[in-house]
Amino acid sequence: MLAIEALAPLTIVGGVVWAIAQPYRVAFIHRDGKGVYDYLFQPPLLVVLVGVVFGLLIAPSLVRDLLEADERAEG
Amino acid sequence: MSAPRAEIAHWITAAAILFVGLLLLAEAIVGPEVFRRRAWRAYAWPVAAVVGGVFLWLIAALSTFSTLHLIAHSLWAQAAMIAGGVQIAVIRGSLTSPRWSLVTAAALFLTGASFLIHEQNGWLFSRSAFLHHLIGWVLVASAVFPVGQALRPRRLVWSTGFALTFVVVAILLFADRDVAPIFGHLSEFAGGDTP
Repeated sequence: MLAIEALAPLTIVGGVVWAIAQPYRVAFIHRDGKGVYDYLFQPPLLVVLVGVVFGLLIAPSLVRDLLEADERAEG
Repeated sequence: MSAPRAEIAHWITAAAILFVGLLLLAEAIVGPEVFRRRAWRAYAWPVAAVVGGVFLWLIAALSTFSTLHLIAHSLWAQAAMIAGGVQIAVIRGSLTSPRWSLVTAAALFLTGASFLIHEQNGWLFSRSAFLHHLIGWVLVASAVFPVGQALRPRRLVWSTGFALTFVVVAILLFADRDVAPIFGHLSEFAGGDTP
């Protein structure tokens, strides 16, 4: 259960750490010579986005199903 | 608006592959019985493979880099669609043998091989060339995981290894730049100062 719940936060932390380590990969911070696509698709923020989407769409239902499966196995 | 640079297409692909990697990792952690309890979750990764194949066909059709790029992207598109299609049939119950994982293994091997074959430059030519070689070998080596799933389906190491392959490939694709040095090397033919 903990492993499933940790996947999204770990991914988000990975993206944030990457943004801190390489701020020039974030167009909002380093604006010189950046185009529309650079603002739309910034690699560290894409990683954060993947973590957020997984955390909102996948992890909660998976944890619920895991709890249900545990309850069935016990009772 | 002009078309996005190749590196941006690779980053978008990396994000999609990372998401699939997390899905597969979650399935490896909870097991297929729990993971496939909801149909939309069970079909997520094979459908993503088929949709990814469609997009790869679009790239193959619109890409004007070279014949090798065209063939490589077409092979990836075909491999992704076949692997995704077979996996959909497995989840539907139309195909029951675990040996169908060998199709995924073949798709991974073919994808890795075409990465290696279509990169004409050496490892240290540029970062892009380095990543082509590395991703190619990672994919070729990772074909062992679905082979393991076909022969010993219950072992956690195969499903975990398969999932982590996607995470590793996503990280490598995120590292891609159109023109950038690798370990301080950038060929003069790629825009660097030194041969």
